[in-house]
Order: sequence, then C-alpha cells, then structure tokens
Amino acid sequence: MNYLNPLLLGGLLAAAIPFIIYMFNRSQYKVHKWGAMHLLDAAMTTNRKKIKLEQLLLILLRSCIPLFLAFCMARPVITGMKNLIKNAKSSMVVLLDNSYSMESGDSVQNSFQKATDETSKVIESLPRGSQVAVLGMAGPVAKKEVSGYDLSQSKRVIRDAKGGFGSASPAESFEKAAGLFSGTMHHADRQMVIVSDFQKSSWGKETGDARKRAYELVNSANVKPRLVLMDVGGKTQDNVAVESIELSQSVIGVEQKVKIRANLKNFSNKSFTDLRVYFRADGESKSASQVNLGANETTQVLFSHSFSTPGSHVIEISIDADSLKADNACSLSVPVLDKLPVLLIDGDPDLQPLKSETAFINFALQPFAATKAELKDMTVPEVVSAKAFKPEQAVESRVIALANVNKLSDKQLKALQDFVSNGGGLMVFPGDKVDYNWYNSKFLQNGRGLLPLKLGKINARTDEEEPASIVSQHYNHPALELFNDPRNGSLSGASIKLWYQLQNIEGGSTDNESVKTIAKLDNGDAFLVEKKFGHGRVIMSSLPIDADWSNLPMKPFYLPLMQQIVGYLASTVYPPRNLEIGQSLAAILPLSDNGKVATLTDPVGNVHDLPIIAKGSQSVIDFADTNFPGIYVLRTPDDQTIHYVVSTDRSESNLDRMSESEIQDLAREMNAALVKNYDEYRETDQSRRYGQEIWMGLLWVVLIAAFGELFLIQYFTEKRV
Amino acid sequence: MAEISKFLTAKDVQTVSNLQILARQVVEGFCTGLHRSPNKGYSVEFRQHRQYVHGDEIRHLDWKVYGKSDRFYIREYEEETNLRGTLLVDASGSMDYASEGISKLFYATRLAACLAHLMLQQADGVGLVTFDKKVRKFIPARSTAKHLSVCFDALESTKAGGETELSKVFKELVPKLQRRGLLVIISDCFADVPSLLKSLAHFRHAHHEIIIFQVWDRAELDFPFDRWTRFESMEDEAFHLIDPAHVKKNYMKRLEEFREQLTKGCHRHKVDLVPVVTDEPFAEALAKYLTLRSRR
Repeated sequence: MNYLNPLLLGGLLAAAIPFIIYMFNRSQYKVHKWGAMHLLDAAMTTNRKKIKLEQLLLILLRSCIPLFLAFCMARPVITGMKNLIKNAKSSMVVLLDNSYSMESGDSVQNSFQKATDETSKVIESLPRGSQVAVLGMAGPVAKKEVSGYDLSQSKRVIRDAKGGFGSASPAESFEKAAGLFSGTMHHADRQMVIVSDFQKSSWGKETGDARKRAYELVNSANVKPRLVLMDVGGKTQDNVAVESIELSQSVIGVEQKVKIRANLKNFSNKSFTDLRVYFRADGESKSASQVNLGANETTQVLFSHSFSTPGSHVIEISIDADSLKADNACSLSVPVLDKLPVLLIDGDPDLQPLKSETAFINFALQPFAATKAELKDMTVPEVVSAKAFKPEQAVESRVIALANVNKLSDKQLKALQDFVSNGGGLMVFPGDKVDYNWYNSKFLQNGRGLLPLKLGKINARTDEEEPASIVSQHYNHPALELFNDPRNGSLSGASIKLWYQLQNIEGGSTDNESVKTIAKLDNGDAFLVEKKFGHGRVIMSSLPIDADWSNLPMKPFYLPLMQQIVGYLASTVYPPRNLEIGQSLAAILPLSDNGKVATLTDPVGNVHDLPIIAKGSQSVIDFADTNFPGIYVLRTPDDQTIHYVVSTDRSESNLDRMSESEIQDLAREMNAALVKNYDEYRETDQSRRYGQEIWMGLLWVVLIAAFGELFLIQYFTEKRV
Repeated sequence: MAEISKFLTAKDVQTVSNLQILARQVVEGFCTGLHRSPNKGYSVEFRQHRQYVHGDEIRHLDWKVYGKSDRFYIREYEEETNLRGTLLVDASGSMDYASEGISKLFYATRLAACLAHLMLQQADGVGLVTFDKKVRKFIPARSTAKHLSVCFDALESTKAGGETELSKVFKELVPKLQRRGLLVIISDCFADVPSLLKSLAHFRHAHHEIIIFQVWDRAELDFPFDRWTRFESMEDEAFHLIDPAHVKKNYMKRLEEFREQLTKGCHRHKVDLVPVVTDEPFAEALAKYLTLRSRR
C-alpha cells in the first residue's frame, strides 16, 4: 500500500485523543458526599462490567474517527502484489466506430461527438512520449495514414474525424490493430481502446467468430494489450431509412420516361404517418409524396421522370423522418444516353430484303426508322460484314452482335475482347456459316475466351416431329423479366427446328460460376447463356438470329426480346458510377486527354486535380480516396461532367444496440474493462497505474463511526434519563 | 400568618432559627387556613345508659330519665383518652445529606417540631426519640406545655452521624412504647426494607398507628450529576468513582424498586408512608399528615 500524502499519517496519533480525554475527565472528578449509597451500590454491582464495556466501546469508536480520518487524508492506495506502471509511456490503438449509426443521438450531442470528445480526453491523459494510433472501424479517420503516433497529431486526427461511414467492422479493425502492435508500436504498456455504440449489426453473434479470431490475433502478441471497451451509445432511436433506389429500365434515353422506385424501411417500433418523401433530380426538387409506414415495415414509393439532356445525372430520394441524416437520403448516378450505338457484324450478308443474317435484328432495333415513323429510336444499329469490321468501330459501340460470323481475325478478336472487358456487351448468334474449330478454340479459349460455352452438335426436329420451343417460365434475368408479364407475349410461341447444343468445356453441365443459362428449350438444351468477361457481358444464343432455323423473328416477342437484350448489355456502366465507400472512382477518357488534368469535387467541397494517364488505347483517371459518402463530381478537360455517388450500405440503419448484459458479456469474453466515458476510463487507468485509492471508503468509515458514536451515546446515556 | 405559612419554604425556615416560633407559625397558620381552631378543646361523647348499682356516683345519675320512668340510670361516656404521639427522628449519617440548602436532618427536626407543636395544641401527648443505629435520646410522651420545650431542645441538639439500622432500633423501642399510640417516624428509611417492615410489624402488633415521613433530597430522586464524581458514603468509608451518565439509568431503576417495595410493604402493614422532599414547604407535609389523620 502506498500513500499520496504520507505526512498526514502523523494524524494517526490523534487516535489517542479520546483516551486522553477519558483519562483526564476521570482524573478531574469531583467528590460528593452521598447518602443513598445503598442504591448506588445496587446500581453498580449489577452493571459494573457492562458499563466498562460500554465505555471501552465508546473510546474505541471515538479513537476510530481521527484514526480513519488521518488515514483517509493520507490517501492510501492499494497496489496489491502487482508492479505499478505509474507514468510509463503507453502504446495505444484507438478503434473509433465511425459508422453512420454513431450519428444518432440527442440534438445536443450524438454518439460520434461524444466518442471523439471522450477519446480526446483519453489521449490527453496519456504520459508524454506515448504512442497513439487512431483507426476508424468503418472507414479511415484521416485522409492519410497517420504514422509516428504523435499525441498532438492523434488529437488533431480525432478532432477532425468524421463519422457517417458504413458498417463498423470490428474484426477487420482488430486485425489492423494487431498489425500495429506487432509492428512499430514499442512501449511495454499497451492499450487498445474500442469506442463504439455496440450496435447489434456490427457486434452481434453473426460477427462473433470473425471477431474472436481477430481478437486472438491481438492477444497473440508478446506483450498483450490491455483492452478497454468504451460504450458511448445512447438510447436506441427511431429510424427510417431509404434503403435503395431502383430504375425501371437499365438504359435510359433522353426524354424517355423512367420509373424510379425507392425502398423505405422503418427500423423502429413506432409507426410513421404521412411521411414526406421527396424526389430530386440534379439537385432540383421534382416531386414529393406521402406514405404511411408501420412499425418495422418496408414500403416502396414510385416516382417517374424523364431527362431532357443526355449525360450524367443524379437523382435523390429523401425523407425527413428522424435525426439520423445519413440514411434519410439515397442517391443514384444515372447516365442518360442520346443514342445507343449497336454494331451488327453480319456473317452472311445479302442484299435481298430480309435475306441477310442481320436483317431481322436490324429491323427490331430501330423499328421507328424502319417504319418511317416520326418517333426516334434510341438504338442506332450499324451493320458491317465480318471482313469489314474494324477494331476502331468497337470503341464507338455500346453493344456488338455477331450474326453467323464464320470467324474473326486475331486483331478483330482482340478488339472484341478489349471491348467486352471494358464493359461492352456482346451478342453471339451462331448459324450455318460458323467455323467450329475457330469458335471452340480461339473464341472459347478453353473457357477463358469470350464464348461462354462450346458449340456442340446441331440438334434437329424432323417435319414429323413437334418442333422445339422455348420453355415458358418465370425469368429472373433482367433481360427477360419483361416476359414474366403475359401481356408482353410468351417466348414459348416460337417453333424451332434446328439449334446448336451448347456444351461446357468438359462436355457436362452448362452451368459454372461465370456462365449461367438464362433461358432453355423444352428438351433441356440451353437457349440463351450469359458470361461475364472483364467488366462486360456476353450473351450467346443457341439459335441463329434470322428465320432459317426457327420462326423466332416472325414472333411478336422478337422485337422486345432483342431490345431487352441490347438494353441489358448496354446497361453496364464502366467504370461504375455508383460506388461504395472506399471503392476507387475511375473514368475512361480518350487517349488524346493523356497528360491533362481533370478536377474532382468531393462531397465536403474539396477540389482534387486528377492527372489523366494513358492506359492502352485509352486514358484513365483513378481516385481511391472515396472515404466519405456523397456525390463526387468529375469535370473532364473537354468540359464533360460525370457524377459519382458514393454510398454506405444500410446495415447500420437498424439502430438496435446490444443490451447492457450483452456488452458486459462481451467485455468478459474479451477480458476487457468496460467504461462509459473518460472519467470511468481514468478510474480504471489510475488504479492500474497507481493502484486503487480507497480514501472514499475510509471517509465513509469516518462518517459511520461519527454517527455510530452519536447513536451509542444516545443509547447508553440519553435513554437512561 | 396564614399567608406566610402557606408559602413558607424550606429556605425560609433557615431564617427562622427558633423552632418554637417556627412551629407555631407553621401550625397556627396552617390550621387557620383550614378554618379550624386548635383551641377548641376536647368533647365528651355519650355512650349508653345503665341501671344504677350501689357505689355509683350520684352525679352521674340521669335525672331526666328518673323523672320519666322513676328508675335510676347512670349515663356512661366514652373514656376520655388523649393521643400519645411519639416522634421518631432518624439522625443517622445519611440524613445529613444536602445537595443544596438544607439537609434532610434539618428538615426532619423542623418537621418534628411542627408536629409536636400541633399535637400539643390538640392536647395530645408528645414523645420524642432520636436515633441512628441505636437510640440516642428517648423522651416519653407528655402533654404539658413545658414538654414542648424539652422536645425542641432535644431536636435542636440533634446532630447527624453513625450508620442506619432502623430495624434494630425499632426492635429496641417496642418494649419501651408499651402503651398504644401514634408513632411518627421521620427518616430516609435507607435500610433493608424487609427487616424494616418486620420491625414495623412489631409496632403494629402493639396496636401502634404508624406514619412514616420519608425524607428525600431532590438530588437523590433526580440524580442530576453529569461529570465524573467520586460518591463517598456518609456513614462509612465506601465510595464509587463513576461517570454518572452511565449509572443514572440503573440508579433510577433501583430507586424505583426501593420506593415501590417500601410503599407496598407499608400498605400491607397499614403503615402510612408520606414521602417528603426537602425543597417542599412544611405545610405540604403537615397537610399530608392531617389528611391521613382525618381518614382514621
């Protein structure tokens, strides 16, 4: 045991004062001649021992008061058997929960503000020369990785830290902390302070295993850090979130009406009536709606809009339901096309009407132009023979269709591969002209090429036999979802006499990870298969595109089917413009822009100059620091504007916290100290560094002794009156 | 005089040293207050008629009866006896106690003087006994006026001292007080209660009426001490050095027991116990006495 004011221990001598007073009083007696001695004798003989005991008890109690008071003022500190670290420097990793759920709380101070305030105090309390690293559990807390672990730098980081990121990931954060402890942090006293609202979605059972593994990693260090859990969460708030926005069509053209569907979810047990939902396009309020949202219910709100100009647009759906702003709005970057260029490579060109291989699809992709209607087609097909196909043409197209092409030159194939891997869409329709060997070797490349599946034998139905047909089913693929509504026609109406059997490379099942069948014939053979290739997609048909082997082009569904497939393949926007936090933002520009600078304005308003770098036949822009959710606006050298929306996932919108007992269990499991604020942290740290002060307990003893003495005097004397 | 005696406190008594004057002041004043004259004398009460026999005095013949019945009848009266009161005054060491003002013995002697004066005023005989553990002075009862001075002299010369042994003294007195009468014991009765009651029973057996004026000092009843005190016995060498606060409760309990035991014992033996405190006026004590006498 140590004493903070050891000199005051001299006050222990005051314990003798009551005894001295007793002896003094006893010696200063007065003499009284007394007549009724027989009564006094009787009173004394029966109670002499009791009286002595009472007096002894009182003296002891009175001695206790100055004794414990002196002891209390000397501020004793219990150290136990452990060695105290006193002012030893610490290496500390602060894991700061900066997920957007931390922004909930009362209007005065939300959980994140409380977290940064308390963390700043914790850092300030560290001895000079300590190392501190602050890690965000949901996103980076600093623009650049902080190294050097300087205290003032860490305080600055905490002060400037912003919340609003997606889900906190304890396991990942623990792993990072373990890396720091085993790396450059070198003080013997190590601490890991985890500041969080302990939301179930991040700390619940489902994340337990990964967290335990990461925690074991932290504990496997030679010098185990001391763990402190700081619970800064408040009472669970009501919350309604705009979970997502969906568009009715994958490719949007100018003046084309598009339906926008917002999914709203109420995460609370409270019902919201007449909840206002706002729709904005490019920052302008377009319309608003009202919905009722019951407790824990999900609902959808529909808006429609048409864009008058092509280019990059941003739409936003927002509500004004609760104080947690981060999930009250959801945005989407929408590229609006003026035209959709499709290159049709014809392997069997013919000048006669409807005789060429691409005649029907050409007609289906520009019905208004073909019928000389006044309406404008968005899709602009261009037919080119296989021989005339030039690689430059691929760059200018969004979708390319190979129609009964015999084979392509290596250069043409390379151009196609680049086109698809950069996000382009390719349709492959076989026919009687195809070169089996080329298709199953160079085009297939043993599964690594563009062709999804190997071309097998040609299956046929004789005239006596019933022709094959496409299986009518519920289609999950976006390109075929339209046909789930019977009013849009049924794919089963076509009669098919000949078709290619599509085989996987081993000759077994046609399904594997990158290839999926999206429609089948009634005999089980694949009709349409899809393969992801780079950032683009390839859809292959087992039928030719013309009417040679089937009556497909004669059917009413042919036109919408082709439109849907082309639209689907063109919908891939690459590089993506709707990103998650931390995902790199990129743009592909013409090679001529190489060396120039584009400007990017982030959601906070900071402007970044981004160099444009040549990469192959194109120039690219890359920006990795998408750490904050919101809209990033890129302005290219040719004054083109591209919007990027960086958003967080909505798992944090469910603000349910772990119960007190669950947090305590977690602390026990992690062998961690559980505190609510800096004061509690200081108490645990003080006792660890300097031992446990017990003056408060002693002060209570003094008070109890004082009251006890009063009570006993009352009991022994006053009551005798 | 009535006004003075009514408010005559023990302190006032100190100023009047002459016992006789004090006694007369107290008694006359008190009796005047009660509208009764002490000079009224005694009356003769008729008892019965009986037939005249030879040798009866002729003066006792009832001539009116003879005139009516022509027979001689003698008028018989109650025997005319005076009260023989004996005052037994305790002069033991404990009677010398005085917390403030007058001592218990001082009070006792003055009270005895008053009672003697009162009795003689009523033509009763008065005797006096002073004692500690043995009889110190024994003055037989007389009803002469001179006798009062004898009693007063004896009282004035009485000094406290010696131990108390009431039972022994009372046993000693029983043969000396053969003729029945009134015994007025003025004492603090600090003795063993059973043996005291036993000795009182002897008096009662001899047909004495007994009144005990138990004299208390206020401090003996209240025990008002608050600092360490060495209580030294007034009758022997015993002492107790104590913190009175710790003993008070038990002392009061013992006191209560002692008084209750004595009161019950006296009641059982038909002895009148009159507790008096030295700070009370004598008139109150006398009133208690006369109240008790009038009941008989």
